[in-house]
Amino acid sequence: MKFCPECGASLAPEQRFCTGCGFALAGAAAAGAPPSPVPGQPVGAPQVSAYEQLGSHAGAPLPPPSGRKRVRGLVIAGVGVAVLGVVGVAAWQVFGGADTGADKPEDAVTEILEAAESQDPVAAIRMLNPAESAGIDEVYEQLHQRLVKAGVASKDGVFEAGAVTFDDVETRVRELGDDVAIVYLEDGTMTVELKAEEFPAALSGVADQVRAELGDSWQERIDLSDLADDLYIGGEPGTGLFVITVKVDGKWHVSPTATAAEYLARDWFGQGGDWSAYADGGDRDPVTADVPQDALQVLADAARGDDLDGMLDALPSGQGALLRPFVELANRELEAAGAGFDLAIDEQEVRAGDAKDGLVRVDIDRLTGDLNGKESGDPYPNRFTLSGACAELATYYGEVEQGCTPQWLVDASGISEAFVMVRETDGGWQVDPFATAVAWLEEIVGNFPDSELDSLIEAIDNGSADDWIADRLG
Amino acid sequence: MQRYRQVATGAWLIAALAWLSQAFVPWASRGPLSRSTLLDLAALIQDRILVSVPRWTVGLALALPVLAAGLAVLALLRGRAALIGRWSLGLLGVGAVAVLTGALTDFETARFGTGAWLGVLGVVAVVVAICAEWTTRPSKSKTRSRDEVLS
Repeated sequence: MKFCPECGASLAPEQRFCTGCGFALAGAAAAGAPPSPVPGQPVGAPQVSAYEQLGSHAGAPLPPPSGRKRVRGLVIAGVGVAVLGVVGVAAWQVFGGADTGADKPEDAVTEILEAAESQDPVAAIRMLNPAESAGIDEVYEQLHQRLVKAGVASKDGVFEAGAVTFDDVETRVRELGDDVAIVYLEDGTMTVELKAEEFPAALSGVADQVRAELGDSWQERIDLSDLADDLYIGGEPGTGLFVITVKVDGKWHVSPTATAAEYLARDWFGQGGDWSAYADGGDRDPVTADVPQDALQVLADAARGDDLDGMLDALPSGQGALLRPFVELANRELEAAGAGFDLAIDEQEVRAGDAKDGLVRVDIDRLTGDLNGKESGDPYPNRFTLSGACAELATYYGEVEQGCTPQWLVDASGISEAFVMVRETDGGWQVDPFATAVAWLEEIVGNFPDSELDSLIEAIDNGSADDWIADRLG
Repeated sequence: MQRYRQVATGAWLIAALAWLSQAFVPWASRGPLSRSTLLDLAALIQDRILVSVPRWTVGLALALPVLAAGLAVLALLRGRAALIGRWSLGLLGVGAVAVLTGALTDFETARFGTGAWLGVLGVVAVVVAICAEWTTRPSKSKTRSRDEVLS
């Protein structure tokens, strides 16, 4: 049994032409076999292959089969190279490091706005500083699943009852330092929309309230320039509406922490941070612990004697850098007030869990230390003890304050004692405040009992959420 | 016969092109993956920025483009092995599209974005290609009359 090289049809060994497509089997000629007589062709007449006969019937001569084969080979090779190139690009995009961020600071901001419009959390996370966003999707996903189960959110993650759209957004970019830029939202509109009929059944009370106060469908268009003009933080001139972006791995990302810190600095100190200090951390030696259990102790030691820069050295790179621009401001304020602080951990009983993705959870059974303040040159020593869900503070004015986390909160959150997440970095271990915040949120969202969630949603729906919280927290 | 073979080849190439390009465009019309692509998702998982999605999703995201690459090459090859290869890859691709469409859009056409529609286009093209190749499958008779050959 042999097969036609043209169409793959099965052929008998003695066949010279394919019964499927009429292809003259070239192998015979190539092997030096005598020319094949075409059925019906007189013996002795010039040999014409069936292929050529087919060509002449079509009215145009066809190229010889060998030429076609060459062309086909080139086409196959070309297609192969092209598709392998595309697959290579895809693989590089996945394995060559996440292609996050944007080429320009303003593009990162507008992409976030468009992600908000589309309600696409993946697109939004791509534009966030990776040092601040790692793992945040776990909280989102858990919360989403809980809300779907409670009948408040849709399975596809789209909130149909509300929408936000941005139009004609104009931005102005100012470089603040190496790899940091501030993006002002100067013009454009933001339209917020609510549709009462699209509210989920579990929030029918809220829908009724919206319908009564705003109508079936409500829309408000907000001018971003008006919003920017109205935003006064820390007095005149207005701070405007801005977002801080940082350059990580050659791409610009939005930094929620730097943005919030800049707003707070302008509010507290009347001026923003010194962003020329943003890149200074790269020249400093990181402060790390040898084992995860010692990371908290090392962080406290690094901060001893008002050493804010030292404290930031003990945080993972990319996180400490976001706060370094505010160190000089804080030090100046402390000096002006003759104030200071000193943090020391004397004793600690901690337990480290297993490492996962370079992170270790360190549970704090007991922690004792000193938190000494100083004002106008006078010391104010305080001694604190953290034990499980309870804390004790022996204050400088001689009183002992004690308190425990409400039992309901312990039960609802599943957190019975404090813990921090410690990251493996630069050959050692450092407390990771962002991973710690994410892990706490994850615990709370994951452990919050169904009955309590249903009860909270019901309270929100009938407008008694304040009473619900007061009732639980006492 | 020849025309059916051309239709089949064209359909295989369309399926390959559709499944190659779906990885580079948003999959949903709204919500998650409506502004981002499967490759964005896979890269974020690979870099451990996204941790809520299983790591095997990376493999699934790359599976279709890789299948498509194989399909594009096999579409132009002749012979039984190539035929079996493209049918197998085509059917595997249909399975992968079904899994992705279910996971990302819950089979709601209202949520289909460009990527999902390209996935479906690939499935349709595979069906067309298989039907066309089935039609041109080798007949059991091993010889053809002279008139058949010349017609």
